Amino acid sequence: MNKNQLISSLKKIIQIRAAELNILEDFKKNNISSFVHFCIGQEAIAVGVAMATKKKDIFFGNHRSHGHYLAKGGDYKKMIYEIYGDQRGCCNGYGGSMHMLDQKVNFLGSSPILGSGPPIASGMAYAQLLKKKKNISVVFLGDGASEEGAFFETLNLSGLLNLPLLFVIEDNYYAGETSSRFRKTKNYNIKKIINSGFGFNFEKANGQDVEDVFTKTKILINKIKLQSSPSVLYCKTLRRSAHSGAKIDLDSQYREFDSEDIHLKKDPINYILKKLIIKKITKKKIYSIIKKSFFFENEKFRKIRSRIKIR
Amino acid sequence: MIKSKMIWMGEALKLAQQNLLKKKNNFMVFGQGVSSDSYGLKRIAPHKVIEMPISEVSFSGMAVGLASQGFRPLVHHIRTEFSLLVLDQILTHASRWEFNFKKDYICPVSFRVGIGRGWGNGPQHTATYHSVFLQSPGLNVMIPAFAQDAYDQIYFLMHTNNPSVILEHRWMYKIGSIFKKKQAVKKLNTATLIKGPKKILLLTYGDGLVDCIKVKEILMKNKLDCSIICISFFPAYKRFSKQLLKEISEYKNIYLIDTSPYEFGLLQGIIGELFILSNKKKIKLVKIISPPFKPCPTSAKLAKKYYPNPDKILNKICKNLKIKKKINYKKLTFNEIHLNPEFNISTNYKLKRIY
Repeated sequence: MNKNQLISSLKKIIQIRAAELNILEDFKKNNISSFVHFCIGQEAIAVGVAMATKKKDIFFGNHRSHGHYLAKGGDYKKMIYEIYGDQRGCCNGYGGSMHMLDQKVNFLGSSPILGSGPPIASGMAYAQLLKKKKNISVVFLGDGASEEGAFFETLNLSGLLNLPLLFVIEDNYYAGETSSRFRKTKNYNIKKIINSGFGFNFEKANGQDVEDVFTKTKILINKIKLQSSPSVLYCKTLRRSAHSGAKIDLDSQYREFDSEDIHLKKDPINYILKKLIIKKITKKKIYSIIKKSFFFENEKFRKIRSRIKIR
Repeated sequence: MIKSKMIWMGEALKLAQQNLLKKKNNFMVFGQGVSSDSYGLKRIAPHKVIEMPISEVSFSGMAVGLASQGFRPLVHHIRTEFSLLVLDQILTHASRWEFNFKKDYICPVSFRVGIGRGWGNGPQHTATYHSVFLQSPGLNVMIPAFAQDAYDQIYFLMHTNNPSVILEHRWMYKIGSIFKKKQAVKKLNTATLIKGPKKILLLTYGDGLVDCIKVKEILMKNKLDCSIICISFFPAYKRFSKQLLKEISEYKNIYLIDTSPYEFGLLQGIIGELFILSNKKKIKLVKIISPPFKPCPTSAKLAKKYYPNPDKILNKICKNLKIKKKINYKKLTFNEIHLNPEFNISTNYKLKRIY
């Protein structure tokens, strides 16, 4: 990623982070009429994938999709309205936080039922193929959902039909509050399953590092287009908030790999900061961008929030 | 002028699909075995009739995704039990797609689901979960029994903006009835009335029609008669048809011929609504002839006792209405009880479509 791309990704991550933090604060005050899953800490995956894809490419999300939606360029106002149940929301206030939609930018929906997204996204990818369009489809799923039978069925069917489909697995270690070591056999190896089992392309990325996600996504998109076969991007990431709701629960008993220090050190914003310093941008300038961006986003949220009519 | 002709319900389903495959670019058929010769579809449009792996969840979900992008896929599940694996996609996703998202973002996916009795099919291949689908707002539920209904319902899939489930009683595939070809169907009847005197009404749906027709024939041979109402369609956001309830309420003696266990079933829902609307005044008698609240056994000897049959229905009618006259009829043979019936519904009956 060049300097400008890194700055753009930084601003987008801040947009998502600020939105999430503002919603979280309001959630604590019981002002949100929606069940919310925050993506604080996981923003780099959505932003990296979105920057590597084109507007015409399709996104389909899951229960934790505010980041995917905003990264894709989804209408910010409509998302906020939706979460508050305002009828000006992206789903007219009927769907809530778990139903993000902006057809104008090809964000074609999200499903909160784990493992249900991949089959639906495969249908969207198939529709594009039948219409002879050259875009790809992307579906986001958590590591818990990647243990569902529907995921494996869809991998096979997508391969059979040569669908231009990218599966993005966001592995934040926990399915709800169950750590991966309680869910997977000792020798569970997703790379082998995808590479050797299905014969599909697989890339592992550091989900905290937007550039790594961006680069690996680009590699896979090229392969999808060249080989007409689905691919899997597997991103390790850190979920700062609880599975759902407004709690930041790093000290909860179920947590095994987390501490405030680790989360701060591996924060996506810190990764970009280091990269920008290498590209000879002063710390002062970077902090100024961060500060201004947060201020701008907080003000934007505040204005929209003041206009919300909760039904 | 388009002539009417006698065809089986199964043939009507096939004919409608063949026509749509030829005429509609966005109509597709998915499932296991759909490319077999017996389906008679693959040769018509090889690229739109797609054989699927044993992966019900993924290919049904794929159909949901396709439907959201302008296609009209029809997914085949030859047994209800197989479709249960896909309830997430049918109920949680397809049926509330436009509700979750937006009214103009539609998902007109449809599912053909084989349901009900079949020789030797036993407890895990004969379940009748009509209520499961009927309890899901946003989903059209169709239960064809007449050939015309079957044809119209498939055509209606091209018109509706809602997802649909066609619950096909396999028992009915070789039941013939009068049928007329159409080019488009924009409205479906919710039931069909086979006219008779207002004294006795047999209220049924799906394969219950077979037993009701047999009872009507026997009664007529004995200079008695009855009316039959066969329910066939429940629109996505309206389960009770006013016209249907009005028609039923005109009868004083109503016999519910249910081939599913009655408790919390389709007919119980209808009759419950009728009682509320009529304030229990008009209806004199409601009797239920249905299987026990148990799954259907596999063995022929046990299955014989399970479903309603003309014997059981006639006994109940004679007993309740105190008909002293002896009703003569031939006892059912083994084949008549256990094997898929094959006969034509008389063209002499006067039919009325209820909307």
